[in-house]
This record gives sequence, C-alpha cells and structure tokens, in this order.
Amino acid sequence: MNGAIPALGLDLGTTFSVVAQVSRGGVPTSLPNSEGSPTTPSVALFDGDQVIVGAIAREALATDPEYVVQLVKRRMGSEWIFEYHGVTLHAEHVTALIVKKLLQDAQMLAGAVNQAAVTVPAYFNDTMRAATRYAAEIAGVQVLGLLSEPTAAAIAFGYDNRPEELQGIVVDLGGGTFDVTVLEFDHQDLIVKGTGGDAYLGGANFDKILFDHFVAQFDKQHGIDVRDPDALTVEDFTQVSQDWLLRADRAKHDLSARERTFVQLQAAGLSTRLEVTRPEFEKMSAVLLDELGEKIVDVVSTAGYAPSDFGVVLAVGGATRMPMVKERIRSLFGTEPDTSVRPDEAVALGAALFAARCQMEEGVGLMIEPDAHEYIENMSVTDVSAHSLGVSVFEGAGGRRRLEVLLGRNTPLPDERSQTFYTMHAGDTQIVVPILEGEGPDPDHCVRIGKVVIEGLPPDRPAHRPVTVTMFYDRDGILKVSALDEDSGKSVSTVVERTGETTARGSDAAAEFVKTVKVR
Amino acid sequence: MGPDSTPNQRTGENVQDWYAVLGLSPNAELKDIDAAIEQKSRQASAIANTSPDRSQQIRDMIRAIRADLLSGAEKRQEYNERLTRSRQPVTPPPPPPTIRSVEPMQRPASAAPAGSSPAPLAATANAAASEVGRMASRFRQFLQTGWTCPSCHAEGMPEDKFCKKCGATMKTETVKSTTQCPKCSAEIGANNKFCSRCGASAL
Repeated sequence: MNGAIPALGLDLGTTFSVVAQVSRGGVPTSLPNSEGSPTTPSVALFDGDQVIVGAIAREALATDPEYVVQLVKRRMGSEWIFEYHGVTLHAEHVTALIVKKLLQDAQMLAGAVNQAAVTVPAYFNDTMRAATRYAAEIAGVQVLGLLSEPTAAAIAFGYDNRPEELQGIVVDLGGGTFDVTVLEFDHQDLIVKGTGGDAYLGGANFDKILFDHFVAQFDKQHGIDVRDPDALTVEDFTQVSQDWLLRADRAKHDLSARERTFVQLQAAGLSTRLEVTRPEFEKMSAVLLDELGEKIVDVVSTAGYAPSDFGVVLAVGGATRMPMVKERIRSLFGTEPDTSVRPDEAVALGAALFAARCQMEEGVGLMIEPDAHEYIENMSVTDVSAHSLGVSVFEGAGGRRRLEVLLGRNTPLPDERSQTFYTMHAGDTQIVVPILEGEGPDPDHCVRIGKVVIEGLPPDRPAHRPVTVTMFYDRDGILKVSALDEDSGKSVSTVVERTGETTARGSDAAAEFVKTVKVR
Repeated sequence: MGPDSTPNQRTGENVQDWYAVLGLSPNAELKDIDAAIEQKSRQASAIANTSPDRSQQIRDMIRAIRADLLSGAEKRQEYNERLTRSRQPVTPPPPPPTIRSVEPMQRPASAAPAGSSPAPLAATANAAASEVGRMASRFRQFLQTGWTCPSCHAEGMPEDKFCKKCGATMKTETVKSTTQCPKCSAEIGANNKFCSRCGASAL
C-alpha cells in the first residue's frame, strides 16, 4: 500500500482528550497514550522545568493543587490566567501543552504526522474556536480543519452504520460542554440541519452541584463554610477545592453504577463522612436536566423537526452515561439512545475520518485499504453555524442601535453574505463597523467580537455614502469580515480582530514557553 | 508561609501591608516578591471553579500589590514610606485570611487559634473590613440579581445573554414564563412547541 500516513483526529475534551487515526484497514482507531490509555485526562501539572499531562497530573490535584490546571477548556477565550516561572499563560497555552503531549504520544505510534483535524463544541463561538486553532498551532499541529464535536460523532456513526437515508440527532454532553445537533444522513452525505447548546454545561456542572452539597453538609456538621475567607486560608481552600472536586467526580461516577455512595471529606482538621443517594443527586441536578431538555427542544423545533422524527438518537460524551441523563433523552425522544459509537471516543474517531477526508481533498493518497479510501473520498459533510453574526447599525438617523444579521444561526458553512449600509454623518474620516454575535436585535444582548475600521477618508466626505460589508464564514466556523467604502474604493478586511487581549496574547513569552518546555 | 503566619497585623490608615500578606520582609528582593505573587495567582487560578468570588478578590489584591511593589523602585519607596507612616502595620483586605475561625458566626478575634493573640483593635478592623466586603458584594448582587460570568467572572446585567467581556453564554436566573405539558404535566417553557420532558407536542 502506498501513500501518506493518515492525519490525526484530535478531540480536546474538558476532562479528557482522545487522539485517533484511520488505520491501514480503513478503521478509525484511537491511539493509546504513552501510559497505554486511549483517553488522556486534560490536566496539566507544572513540575519544575517540565509539564506533565494526563493521569499523573490528575493524581497530583490532591497533593500539589496550585500547580495543577484542569477544566481549561471552559476558560478558552476568557481572561483566566495561570502564572508560572514568570510567564503568564492563557487557556490556549495550557491547551497547547495538552496538545503537545497528545501529538508526541501519537507520533510514537503513528509515525511522523503533524496534520490533524481538531474538534470544538458546536456551540463554541468565534473567539473560542480561534483560541483552539491557535493552541493546536503553537503545539506544532498543522490544522487541517476545525470540526464540531457532534458532527464528528455523527461521521463516526455514519461510517460504521452506512445508513442510506436517516434523520438523526446527536446529544453530546461532555465534561464541560453541551451540544445538540440535528442532521440527515443521505448515503455518504452528512448534512447538519441545526445546532445549539451551551458552552458551559457539562459533567463538571454536576460535579459542582455535588461540591456545593459537600460544602453545605460540612457547614451543617461543623459550622464551617470552607469558602469563607475567615474560615480557611487560601492555601487550605485551594487544597480543599481540588480534593473535593475530585471526590465529587468519583461520587458522580459511583452513582451511575450504584444507588448510594459514601464520601469522606476533610477540611480545617475536621472530617465528615457523607452519604449521597442517587435520588438525592438527581433531585439536586433537576435544574440541569430541565435545562438540557429545554435546549434540546429548542434546537429540534428551530430546525423544523419534532422529537419523534428521529430514526437515531446518538448519545455522546461521558456525561450521557448518567442514568438520569439517559432517562431524560429516552423520555423526550421516546426511543433508546444509541451508544454503539463509544461515547468517549466517537468524536475523535469521526475527527480522524474527517482529517483523512481533508487530506484526500488536497489530492493526497493515503496508506489505507482501497474500499475505505474510496468511501472516505466520497463522503461529504455540511455543517452549520451555531450563532448569528451581523453588524451594529442605527435605525435611521438618531434611531436606536440594532443588530443587523448577515449570517443567521444554522447557516450552512461555508457561506458569504454582503450588505450595503450608509454612513450617517458628513465629514467622517473614519468608519467603524462593529461586528456582533448574538440572537436578539438589541446590541447590548450580543457579544461584540470585533470591528473593521476604514481610516484616512477625505474630510469633505458627504453623509449617506454606501459602505458594503461582507462576512465570510469559513468551514471551521471562523469569521472573516471586510468593509468597502464604495466612494474611495478603500477596502479593509480582517480575520475578526478580537477586542481585548487576543492579539497581544499570541506574540509573547507564553508561546515560546509552550514550544520549548518539555512535556510528558 | 501564607498570610496566616503573620499575627502581628494591626489597624492603620488604610495602607495594607503587602509584605505581611506575601509573608516577606519589607526589604525582600524583587524576585522573591515575584515568586510570592505568582503563588497567590496560581491559587486564584485553582479556585476559579469552586469560589469565583474569592478567586477574583485575590486577583484584585494582586493587581494592587503589583502597582505598589513592582512598578519601579520609586513607587515601592513611596509605598514603603506610606506604610511606615501609617505606623502600625495593617490588616489586609478580606481575601487574604488572617485567622482561622472555628465558629463562623464569631468574629475572628474570639476564634483565633491559641498562640496568636491579636489585639482587639485588629480584630475589629478585620471584622469591619470583611463586613464592608460582604456589604459590597451583597449590593452588587442586588444590582444584578446575582450572577457573574461563568467563564471570566465579569459582572453582567440580568438581561445579558452573553458575557460582554469574554463572550461566554450567561446563565440568567430570570424566571421564564412556563406552562404545563398537556401530556405529562411537567413545567415547560411557555413558548415550547414540545415538552422538554416527554417530547409531546405542547401546542
């Protein structure tokens, strides 16, 4: 068999990550890390002049809490920082360290391959997607494409089951994020019809519910609120935080298998043994379940379907293992969720298939079995955007500001839209086009993700002159915007220049730290 | 280590003794100050999930320390003089805890561990400082019906859908108008086409 080595599929999860690759036999397979496990906890331990990623780092949560970083995916694109040896790391840098470990280990098995498709939650916004791509790049990955996690899972399912025509829905509840994606399989074509979710809802929220329960129970028994600065020093609270979160996670897993579990809690030299029953846990989590249900129904009806329309309901993500989540999916759709693609690995497996597809698109022949090669080559995937994008405009002179949507939610990717607007005042030498992401008409309810600025216009410019704004959504769900002043022909385009730190972040010592530090 | 091991904090004219907070002496070298601040910063990172408020308080404190101690020799000298002028070394703000209390309702003074016996004055100042902090946070909660961004902990208004700072989805506590599912009587959103529990048509 001749050809190139298939590229990797990277699933960078909130709690753990998986790398997969299409094997010579044409089967997407997860690649075990250097510790022998197919899943690598997305946890980093900063240990002297090296960084340890994975299970060992996770163990260290209990002993070196300040030197361990976990749940970093929830901080993507945010202002959260971690300072180490005089270097300020943002979430994308810590993610890059995790990617470095994944790539390093994968290369031991897969050979010299640095190309990969990287998955992101469907509901990730532009900033979070760009941060993810940046993280992979500084870790030495050549990113073939970003892919939505539920879409990746659906690709894996489609490849396994080869449905002719089938309407499906993916419910992906991971460690930190929640996605719902409605799609249609039509032979080798996979067409996403609608998506939605929550970038801050996942297994970790259930852990937090247990953690809060622990805090309340400990307070009840010993009269100490461990969060109170007067009760526990920062050092002690840091320890308690990481340790109790670990215990909460363990209790959650326990309660998926057993009706009750016991938790031993220690803080301030006192200890408590706590019993948690499954019904108790389910009662505490009712809010989260209702939120899941509401989100699912919203996505289904926005895409124009009814819950009974789906031939297959794919449950993906570790948190769908919880009996209460399964039960909610079952009752909502009236059908048993399909877990034939392994919930933990489906996303990475689909990403591996997608990566191979990207290579073939570029004309690269792969070292895989011919039938599989042909099938993958003929696959097509159409994804959609999860958020509406537009510009902030004034409703007539002196009117209210409102969001004018150019690319609506559920727009098939890639897509490009142009619209012409008119300036309000005479003598403007500068035109600022604010770019917004959001669903309502009120700009205050949207996120301002950037702006395009046309400068240096003649001071004698009259009012009401046309400016054409073009928005281009690429296949990765990353936005490019350009604005053209029709009079002067002056055009400015930008890969959305994010407001805030993002630009400064890329340049500095942090990227250098990521590139040079030894990762294990 | 840590601020708890400095029981000699007293009240003063609002000049906080960062050296005590960091567990360093006033003539500590820059690199030691750097290292101590970095440790505080890492603690703030580590507790961002479990106590966003406390994490943010530490961040605010770090910003203040950097402004005073790490913005050039002149600034530091100026700060040192202010600190000396205030005579008595000062109680740090609420975030760096000073005393471990056993009964939370008691003021730190009476609950101080044996061995350290802070002057009553210190206790009052400490209590007052944390009381001010508590009131401020309550007022903030009142203004915004109690939430901060789940990602970056920026504060937002109840009607915001996304965090203006980092773009995260905000979870507002606003009560959605609800209706009952005709089939299973679950409470569901008033505008739902389908029940979010049993999937039945809600129209």
